[in-house]
Amino acid sequence: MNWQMASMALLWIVVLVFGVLLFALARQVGVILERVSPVGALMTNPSLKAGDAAPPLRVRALDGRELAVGDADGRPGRGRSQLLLFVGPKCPVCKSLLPAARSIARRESAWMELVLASDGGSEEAHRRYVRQHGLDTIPYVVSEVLGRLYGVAKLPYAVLVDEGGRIASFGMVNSREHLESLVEAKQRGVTSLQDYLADAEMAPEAESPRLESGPAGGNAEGR
Amino acid sequence: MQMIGNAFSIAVLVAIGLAFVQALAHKLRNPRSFARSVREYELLPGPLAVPASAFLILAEVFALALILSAIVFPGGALPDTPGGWPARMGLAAAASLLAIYGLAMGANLLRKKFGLDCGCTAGSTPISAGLVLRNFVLVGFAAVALAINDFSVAGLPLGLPGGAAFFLAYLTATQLMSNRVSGTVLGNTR
Repeated sequence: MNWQMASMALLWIVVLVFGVLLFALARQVGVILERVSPVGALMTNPSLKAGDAAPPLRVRALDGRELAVGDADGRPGRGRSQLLLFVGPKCPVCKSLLPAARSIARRESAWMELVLASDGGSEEAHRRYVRQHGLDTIPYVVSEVLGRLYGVAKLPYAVLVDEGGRIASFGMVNSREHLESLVEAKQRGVTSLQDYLADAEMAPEAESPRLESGPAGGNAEGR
Repeated sequence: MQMIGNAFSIAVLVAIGLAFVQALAHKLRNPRSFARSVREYELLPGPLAVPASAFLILAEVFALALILSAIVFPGGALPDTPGGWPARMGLAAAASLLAIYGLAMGANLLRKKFGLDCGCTAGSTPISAGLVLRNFVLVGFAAVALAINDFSVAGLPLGLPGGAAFFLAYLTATQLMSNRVSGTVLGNTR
């Protein structure tokens, strides 16, 4: 009987230790998945192509400001690029992205303007959203046409329009890294970090000269 | 057979108690984010979200206190009460809460709000059929334990490690469910 009791106790200890190990393993898998998740924004869009002229549109922001998106006012090169960030009050990921968007916009304000775009729901809901998240200083556009024009199917989505009114980069953005990648891609002259990685893999020896070559040139060759 | 039923009941009590300790820990640490989750479920009028979340937290504390008292004083918290009423009441309260959460998640899945954070972990785990299933498996176990209705002290030596192992399986299952979500994001891009 004693021997049986001891063996039972031992077995239970083993079961519990294995339980702890299994949980720890599952957690580590989770951490690894998070770490290796894509560093660049996803490029999924049938209606946009990097390098094309951005669809022009005049829109009015919630605070009454008139905005020209793309080349709407007929003078390309307004001087600053535009980062269109499509968000919505009902999208939980968007919420966590707003602080990152604000800080990137502040940091890059010399060459880039952040525009938040949304659609659907009552105007009051959008105004509340702006108030809650302290977005008063950022132009916030409520326009269904804008989203459709830029082929936005999922939120949060971002499109970077360069100073010449052309699409520099775009993609679904789920994290600060994704958002940064759009800005980074523009500064490096590639359309997305996936392109950058693919180029680097395909031509490892030509990596650095390619990066310094002009934005459009390098890409046209590659594709 | 009777002994197994007794040990099983105690194990369920221990496992659900541990699950509630874990669930309450993050709710008490960050009650605001829990209130936000309740609002995002959109099952109650907006102004009711804060009182409802406070009520849910209190109900969880109540259930957990009864369960803990049943484990610490097996056979009943008060010496002269018939054995196991805190265990029964605590389990019933905990199972009702689990069922409410399960139904709330199910309702939002039917509304196709797939990205909704479940509000049940410290990180962010979107609601899924797996989480609903997990809750109702726990409710089922609680129902079986309530039906056996034997929380006497004899089951403790087997019930305690059994409950701990059961809780570890629950933790691992929840973790794997939140892993699967980040895994899909990865799968779509490569």
